[in-house]
Amino acid sequence: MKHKRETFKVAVAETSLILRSGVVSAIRRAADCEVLFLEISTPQEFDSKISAYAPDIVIVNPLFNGRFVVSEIRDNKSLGLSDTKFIALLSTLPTPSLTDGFDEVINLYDSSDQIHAVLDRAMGYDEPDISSEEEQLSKREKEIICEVVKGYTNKEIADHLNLSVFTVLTHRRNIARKLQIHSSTALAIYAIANKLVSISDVK
Amino acid sequence: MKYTERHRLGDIICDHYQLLLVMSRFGMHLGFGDKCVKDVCDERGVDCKTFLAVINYVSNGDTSDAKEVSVTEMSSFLRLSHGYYLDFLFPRLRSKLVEAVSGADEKMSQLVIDFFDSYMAGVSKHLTYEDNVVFPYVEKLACGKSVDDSFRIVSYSRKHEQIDSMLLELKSIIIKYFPDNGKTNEMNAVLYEIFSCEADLKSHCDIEDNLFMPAVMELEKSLKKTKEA
Repeated sequence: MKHKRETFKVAVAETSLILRSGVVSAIRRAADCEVLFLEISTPQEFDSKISAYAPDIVIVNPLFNGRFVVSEIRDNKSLGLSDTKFIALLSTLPTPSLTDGFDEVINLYDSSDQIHAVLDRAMGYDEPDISSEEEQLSKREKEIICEVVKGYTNKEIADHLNLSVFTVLTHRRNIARKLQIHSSTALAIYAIANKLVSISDVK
Repeated sequence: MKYTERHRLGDIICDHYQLLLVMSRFGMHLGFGDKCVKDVCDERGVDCKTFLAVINYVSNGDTSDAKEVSVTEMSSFLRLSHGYYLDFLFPRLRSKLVEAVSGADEKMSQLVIDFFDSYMAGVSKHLTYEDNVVFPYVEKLACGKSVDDSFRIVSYSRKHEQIDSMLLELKSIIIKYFPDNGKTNEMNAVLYEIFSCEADLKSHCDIEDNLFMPAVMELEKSLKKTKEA
């Protein structure tokens, strides 16, 4: 996960003053870092100000200036926007032809949380670290741990839980990998500490 | 910096305190004054080249003198290291651990001690195997005795990784799961010792893999050649 930066520069290109101000205020509310804004109301303003401002993110109505084609803007080297992220501002359901080339889409009816997620992705942050999430034990794995620390054999565990011995072994391997615990003594300590079993259950 | 026989041993030890353990395992004691490496080695009857190869490896990872090591000096050094673990360090760690877990739930404390004991048993088994099988084999080789073909140093199974992973597990269960029993200082002290024991064992295994084994393999090769000639 990238380290969060302090400030971001966002350009908002939208002809309507009310929509533009609304976007700025919604993003201020949703972002958890400082955001600087450049508000652009006309295509002429876009052409004259955008490269000097060098925004990290451009939020633009796809119908701005008739049709805003992201690939053309990106490829135009004189603008220097090849690394900039483009977010389409939509008041309707997204249609592929309209949002073609955009990195993200914000809809007028999005919640603050949705906008926040869009900004995080556009700023290059991953989703909240899910690798630790993946290493969480499943309900079945927890059941197996309980059986193991109570001293049952793999065969007995398989019978109790209506599984094959092979499946039990697979679960045990996954448990060992997830917890980095390979001995049943250590597993018992884990199980007690995490209240999967009571101390008196441990054999 | 690469140390030579003319460096003062006292300065070297002050630069790299982990060499204290190396020194004592070569049978050297403190109190050598301002003597250089060569003089201390001569006094204690230690092969100076082997000693230098080990301290340069431990302090800088330098293996350039691996060819200079005497396998008999190395195996006596490794034997003394094993004695240090089995007779001194592990029993001491164990009694400190017993003290640090006391006062917690009895079963919980017992589980931690059980885990430590099974770790200790695993390491002892590995070290005793080296003492009883590997070193005698190497000592025979060094006397130029032809050895039967059933054993080769490469075939001696390395269980070093297993030793490492069990210690890691011990640390991690204590750190993550052991409940507070009002003995934070005692437990911290044990953990510090476990961390330093881990580093020392790692260095010990590295010496075996990167200095000792290559030297023994070299010896095997040259003996095979004389046998064929």
